[in-house]
Amino acid sequence: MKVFIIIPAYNEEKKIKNTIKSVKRLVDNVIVIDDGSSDDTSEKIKDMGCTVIKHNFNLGQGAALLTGFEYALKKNADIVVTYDADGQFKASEIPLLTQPIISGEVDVVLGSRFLGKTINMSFTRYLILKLGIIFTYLFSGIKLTDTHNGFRAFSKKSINTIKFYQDNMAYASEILDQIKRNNLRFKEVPVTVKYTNYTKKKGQKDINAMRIFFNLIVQKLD
Amino acid sequence: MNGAQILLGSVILFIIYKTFISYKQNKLNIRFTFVWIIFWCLSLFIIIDQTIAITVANIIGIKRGSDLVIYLSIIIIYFLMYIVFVRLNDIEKKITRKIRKDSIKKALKNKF
Repeated sequence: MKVFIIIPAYNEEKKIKNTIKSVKRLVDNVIVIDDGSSDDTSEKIKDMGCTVIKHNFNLGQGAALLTGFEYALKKNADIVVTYDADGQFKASEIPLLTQPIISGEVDVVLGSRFLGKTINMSFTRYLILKLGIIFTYLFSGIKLTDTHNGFRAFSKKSINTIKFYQDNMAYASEILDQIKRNNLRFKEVPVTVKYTNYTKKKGQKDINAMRIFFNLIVQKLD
Repeated sequence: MNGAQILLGSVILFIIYKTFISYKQNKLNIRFTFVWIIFWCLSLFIIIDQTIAITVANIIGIKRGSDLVIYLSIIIIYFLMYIVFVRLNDIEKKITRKIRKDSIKKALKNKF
């Protein structure tokens, strides 16, 4: 089975090289989506043997993943793993996500930091993620321990089925909604998420949770 | 006619004139031009003959004609804002789709 990894990256010139080095040996193909970076993200990795797809403008993580999914399907990927570029995840846990799909047990595997381990997570982030779990259950009817984790794996069938439209971080909730609507088999696996000063500074601001909530309400009403 | 009516009426006539010129220059389509001119003609009519606004306001149960005009204006503004938001959202989605498709095309040709 061909395993592709999709890494959306925006201004990650400091971290992207190490991230690719860590994942390369565990997958068949590494696809980096440079989402309109203004730094040298693409330049840093052009000789590392991975595929780099560059957006001319910053469109958001949702749009970057859509690009990655579309490309992976065109290249006949069987399994697609999504992974953050900033080094928050542990590459050694990739097989935990791919194995249930390879064995045919499920169509989608979702990483959960609350089943696994978090390092240096702030209390505010903990609170917002926990609220996210309640919100997801109310809106999508899907019960999970971690609803906004970028470490996921999808079978070819699920990528062909899941349709999401939010370009920004709200896509994460859309994906869960789609899993429920299309009755895709899924499971959560424990993963490690490490927060550093770099990732806290660069990552999602807590106020974005409000924006995600608003975007999803508007979409539900549409 | 009082000074306010003359001033507002002049502004409206200027707007109607500019709308017509924009249509002639192909900057506006016929549907929008028609609706826009009708809207401003009605506004001009209400300014010149305020008894219409007063009569309609009384029928609805609002005391003053000017209050009715303000309420209607607010509703129309919010509706127009909604239309603009929907159009902007649509344009944003089209731009995103185009950028993504072009990026994938380049990558498939092994260029980035």
